[in-house]
Amino acid sequence: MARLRTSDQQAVEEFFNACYPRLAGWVRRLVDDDETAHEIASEAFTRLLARWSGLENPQSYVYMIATNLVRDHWRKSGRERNALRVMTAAGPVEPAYHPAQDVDVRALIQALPERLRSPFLLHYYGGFGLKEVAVMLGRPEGTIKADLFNARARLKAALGDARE
Amino acid sequence: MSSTRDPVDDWLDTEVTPLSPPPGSLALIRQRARRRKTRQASFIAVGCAVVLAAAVATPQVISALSQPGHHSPPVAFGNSSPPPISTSPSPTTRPTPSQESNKATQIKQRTHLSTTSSGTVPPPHFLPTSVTFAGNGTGGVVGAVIGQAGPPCATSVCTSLAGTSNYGQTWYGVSAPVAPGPSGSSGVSQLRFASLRYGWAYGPALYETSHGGWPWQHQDTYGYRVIDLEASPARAFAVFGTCYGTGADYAASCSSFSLWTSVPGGKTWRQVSVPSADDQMKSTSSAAPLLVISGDDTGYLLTPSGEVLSGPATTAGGPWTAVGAAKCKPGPPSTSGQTAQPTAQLAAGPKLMLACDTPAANGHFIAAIYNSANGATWKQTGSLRVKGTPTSLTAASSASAASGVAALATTTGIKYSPDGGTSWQAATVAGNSPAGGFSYVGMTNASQGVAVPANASLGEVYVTNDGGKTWQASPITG
Repeated sequence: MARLRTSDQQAVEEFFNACYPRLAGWVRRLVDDDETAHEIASEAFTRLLARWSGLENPQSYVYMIATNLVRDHWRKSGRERNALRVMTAAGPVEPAYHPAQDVDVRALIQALPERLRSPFLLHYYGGFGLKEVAVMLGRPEGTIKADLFNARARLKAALGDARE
Repeated sequence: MSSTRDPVDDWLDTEVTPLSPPPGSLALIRQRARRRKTRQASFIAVGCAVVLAAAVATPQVISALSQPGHHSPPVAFGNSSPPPISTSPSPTTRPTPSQESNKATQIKQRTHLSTTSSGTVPPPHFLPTSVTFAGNGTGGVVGAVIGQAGPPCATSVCTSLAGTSNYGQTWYGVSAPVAPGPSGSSGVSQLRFASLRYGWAYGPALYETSHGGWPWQHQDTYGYRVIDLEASPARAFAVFGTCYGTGADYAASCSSFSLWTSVPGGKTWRQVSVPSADDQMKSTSSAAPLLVISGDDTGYLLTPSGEVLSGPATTAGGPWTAVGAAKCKPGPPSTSGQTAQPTAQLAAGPKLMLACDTPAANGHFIAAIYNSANGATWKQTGSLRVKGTPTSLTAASSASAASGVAALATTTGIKYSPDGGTSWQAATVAGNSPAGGFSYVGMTNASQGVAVPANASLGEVYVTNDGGKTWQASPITG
């Protein structure tokens, strides 16, 4: 199997150096620990490099893969259910939400339906524009816009409930 | 400006703290990517090598094809042996620049479904695993079967297609996707065509054609496995699963499922908007959802929990909603057909038809048959006792019977109903039912139907032309 050409190798290295830290940081905010974040980011890059020459937008691809891996991690760890239990158990005296901690918003994002969660993560967290997210998810731009609105509304309502 | 700050904004405004890669990460990633790429490429490389070898071995055959009056060229098995060279590729099949590099092998594979014949014959020792029939655009139907070519194809990339324009009387070769048979998360085993042009090969990977054959394009399923796919002329739906089954049992050990859609010719799939509880359908007892599309372009999905979802299968599409609860839940998928667990089959004819199967003594099942106009309410119309395990249900509208006709395949044979599931009789299978029975049965219309034996090594499917009463073997040969 031929290896990547030298120019491709340089491009990969530049892309890795530019993208990995932010991607891993992005994942870190969605999972609990640095080790898992590195595992997911590394796996996303591994899959990216295995298909490098056939991709038009490697950044979209690697974020899409990472989003799916994060989702799988949540599912496997069962953290979604646990986090939801924490949320519903939050009492009125001690608000569940604290800006310095990600866990509550993260738990709510985990609980979003898949169709709302992916665009939310990619747009607000991955920094992709509406058009890019629409292409990545294969949905019309208007649908993405509506999904983002609905996701925000759900999060806001849930956070409000948790603080009352 | 509001004094109350949006808590979502608070969270989003928190900058992502970059996380530097551990030393040596890129080298490790490159190493893993190379290994992965090598594994993926090994399938294709071996397949291409056989194509080239076959091309070298058959120069006389190929040159003979250019002679006027030559009508029956021996061709090739799917990806492993070349169909005749097309000297003037049609505009719709002109290769893109990125495909030019593969021209040497792909140009020999440019065969398509046809209302007559592709001019080629299927590969020898064809092992069929899935069959599909669709309208040919002129009031008739065209069929296609996917499977693995037997010897002399001895590589891991022997996936092949055959087409028929006379309902199985004769078969011709059609270019297949360059993919191995099903193995874990890769390969294909199933086939659906929405029309003469648009089709999908799937299970567990996914390939699409907009030309009735060559070229096939791999489609991204975002890491999911494609468990089921149904298509109308306007829209296709697929059940994607998170599954961990190995080998040919790619649909086993699934933890969740989701419903996705695309249009014929579409290059991407998007998740269907469904009630949030069904966004990721959890698998219970390894049950897999059942998907059908009715003649009025409405799609129905029986979820693992027994809920019925419904939505438009039109070009415009739209969200799917919960319309009711079925009388039973889907059972575990059984690639062998041998299961003692309760199972269910769903079909769409004049009405929705559901078979709820309960194990009985001495290796029998009792199948209770229910009908529903829209999936909301169900009424039992009949029941039957079958030897072996029910595997597949089909229904079709009939001009002579308002309730339509139906057929139920089992691991021992086929039962048919001329009155929409009220009464059932054993079908006559010419030469007796094959050992292992049938894994699939489908009625294309009130008279014509096709069934796939569970034992693919027989190299044949079975067809009926009398509404399911009698079935004859249709060997996948030229």
